[in-house]
Amino acid sequence: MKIDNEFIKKNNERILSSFSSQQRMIQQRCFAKKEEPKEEVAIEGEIKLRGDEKKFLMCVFTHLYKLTMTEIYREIGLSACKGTRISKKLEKDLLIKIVNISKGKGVSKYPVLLDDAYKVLNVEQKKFEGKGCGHEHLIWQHILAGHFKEHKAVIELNRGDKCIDVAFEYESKLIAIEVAMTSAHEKENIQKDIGMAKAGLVIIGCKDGKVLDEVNAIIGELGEELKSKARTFILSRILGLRIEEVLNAKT
Amino acid sequence: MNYKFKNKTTDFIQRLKRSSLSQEVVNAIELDISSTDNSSRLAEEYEGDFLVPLTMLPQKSPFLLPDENIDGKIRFGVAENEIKAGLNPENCHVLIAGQTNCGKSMLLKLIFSEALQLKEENEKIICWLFVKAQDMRPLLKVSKDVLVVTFNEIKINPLEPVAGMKDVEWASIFADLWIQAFRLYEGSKGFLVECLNSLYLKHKDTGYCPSLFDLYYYVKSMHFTAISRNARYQESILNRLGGMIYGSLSDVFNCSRGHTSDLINNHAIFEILYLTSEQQVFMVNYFLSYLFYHKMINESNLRHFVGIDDANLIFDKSFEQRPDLGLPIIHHLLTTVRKNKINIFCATQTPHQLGASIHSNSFAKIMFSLSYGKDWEFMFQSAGIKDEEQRAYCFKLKPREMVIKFSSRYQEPFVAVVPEVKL
Repeated sequence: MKIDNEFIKKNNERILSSFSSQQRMIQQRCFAKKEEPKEEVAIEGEIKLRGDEKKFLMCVFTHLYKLTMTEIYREIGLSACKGTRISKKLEKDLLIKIVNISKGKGVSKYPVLLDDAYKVLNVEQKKFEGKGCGHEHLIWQHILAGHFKEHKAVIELNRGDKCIDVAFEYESKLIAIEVAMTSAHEKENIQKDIGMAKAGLVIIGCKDGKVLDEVNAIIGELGEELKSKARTFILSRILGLRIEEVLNAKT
Repeated sequence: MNYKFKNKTTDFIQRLKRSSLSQEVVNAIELDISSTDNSSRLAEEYEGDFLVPLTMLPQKSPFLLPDENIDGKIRFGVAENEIKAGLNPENCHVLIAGQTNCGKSMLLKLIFSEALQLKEENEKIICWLFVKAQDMRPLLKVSKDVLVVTFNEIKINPLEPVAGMKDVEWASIFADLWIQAFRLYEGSKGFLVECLNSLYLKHKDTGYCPSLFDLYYYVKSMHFTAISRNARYQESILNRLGGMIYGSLSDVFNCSRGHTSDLINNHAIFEILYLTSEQQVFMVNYFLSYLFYHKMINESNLRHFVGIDDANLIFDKSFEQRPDLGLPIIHHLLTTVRKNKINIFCATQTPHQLGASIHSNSFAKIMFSLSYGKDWEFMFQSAGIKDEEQRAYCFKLKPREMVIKFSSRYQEPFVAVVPEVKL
């Protein structure tokens, strides 16, 4: 057996065919200075959108955090099959990210625009209030605001210099809803919502059972007045309750 | 003679074996002596039968003849008394020293060809070789499953953390590897760690791992006033990163997830001859660190044999003389990799330039002919050879003849020859 370059090349190809790798995310445009136009042009040239894809992205932009994938397909008149194909391509091109939200009975998929999508669409990135909250948090704010829309719920209502995730007035009382992905800031939220924003009731919607237990433990340590004005639920459970039921529920 | 034998009989047999008498004659006398009740008397009689005293016959070497304890599963030499010398997989690291063309690479090739064929019940041996020539390619005749890494087709992302490790943890390891290979200082290290952590955070939700390109662009996009310290750190990092990603390794690093995790399960010969010296240090340390942490976190039945030919660059003692950096990475790895079933075989021409780590942690020290006195002194000290006759003999070693010193099993130094093998 002759071990020459040709043999090694073929042998390497054989071995490497079972190896896996992932291409680099072309990200230069996020960081690079303007003096590197070559990368910029090459990258923009790569992203070519078809009519339906652009329509899909514009629809996501217009109804950001509000519509699920299925609702977007319906909105722009796409079949489920075509809609799925388009969304998968856009996800692969790093233009959208799909966030799964568990609403109790099933999982809803919400598309979220990534930085590149704003550039391709040539639109300004939407600014949402909230300190460092993620997509899931923002989606839940919109879902809860939609659930209590008959009471004119407002996202990031500012009262007494405190921003409440979702808030509305009911029987001349301010009801504050805080979305808790973790229990980290919930003690502070309850104290400020009641102390600064003068909320009559604070509802903490927790991401899961673990967060719920942690928040309940935090509330247990608060004073009687604060304790009586706080209610905790798993987020998906709030969607199955009317406001009266929420008010009468025991923590 | 300094040797202490149990009695006159064993003394006589030892001298007999070292003499130039044929093996058949020696075996016959030994059998005759061992089969009689009064062996010492018979030994004396035999000694009297020789026309010249036995000690005046041409002697083989002043080293003791070893017993069967020197044998192992991976055989690589034949001692003067025809007993095979070998290593067992569980034996720790091996240091091989010798001048050019004395049989170092041949020995390395022999050990690795044996290892490639070794079938163990509980573990599988994976061989990695880092070489500065193409002379290990014949190992493909032993096994076709050896990847020859010429740094053309392979993909590597040094920023990709080991499976099961947090990004921030890998960032610290990478920073250590980087500043040691490129001889940067503490300030640049801190700056690099800061940039890396921020970069990992930016990529968190994308499903991609940042590459060296991303790191370069990220560092480049930062703005500092020209006279600030950060501007100098930035310049140092960019300078080295630019050299890496726009040099011959450009295509290699152009990926988000590389082949390193797959390489762990495959035999490979890394031909690092076309890399710059800094890149060689970086790549060897990177692969060893990745392997070490991967095996530490993920349990497997693999044992890795890692051979480093011409290892001075990696084990250079100047790395141990940087008080600002503490002990080099390779030192830490050598002392701990054994637990993770990694055996390191290090071959060098100038052992006196090696750091203390390899000398202190080798199970076997193998010395071929060396031409520089300083190297011999170093090896004598390392192997504990104090006898003047033995020392004098070392200066007359023929090609492929070696002095071996094991740290357990059989602890006396002995002479052996690398058998001629055609691969």
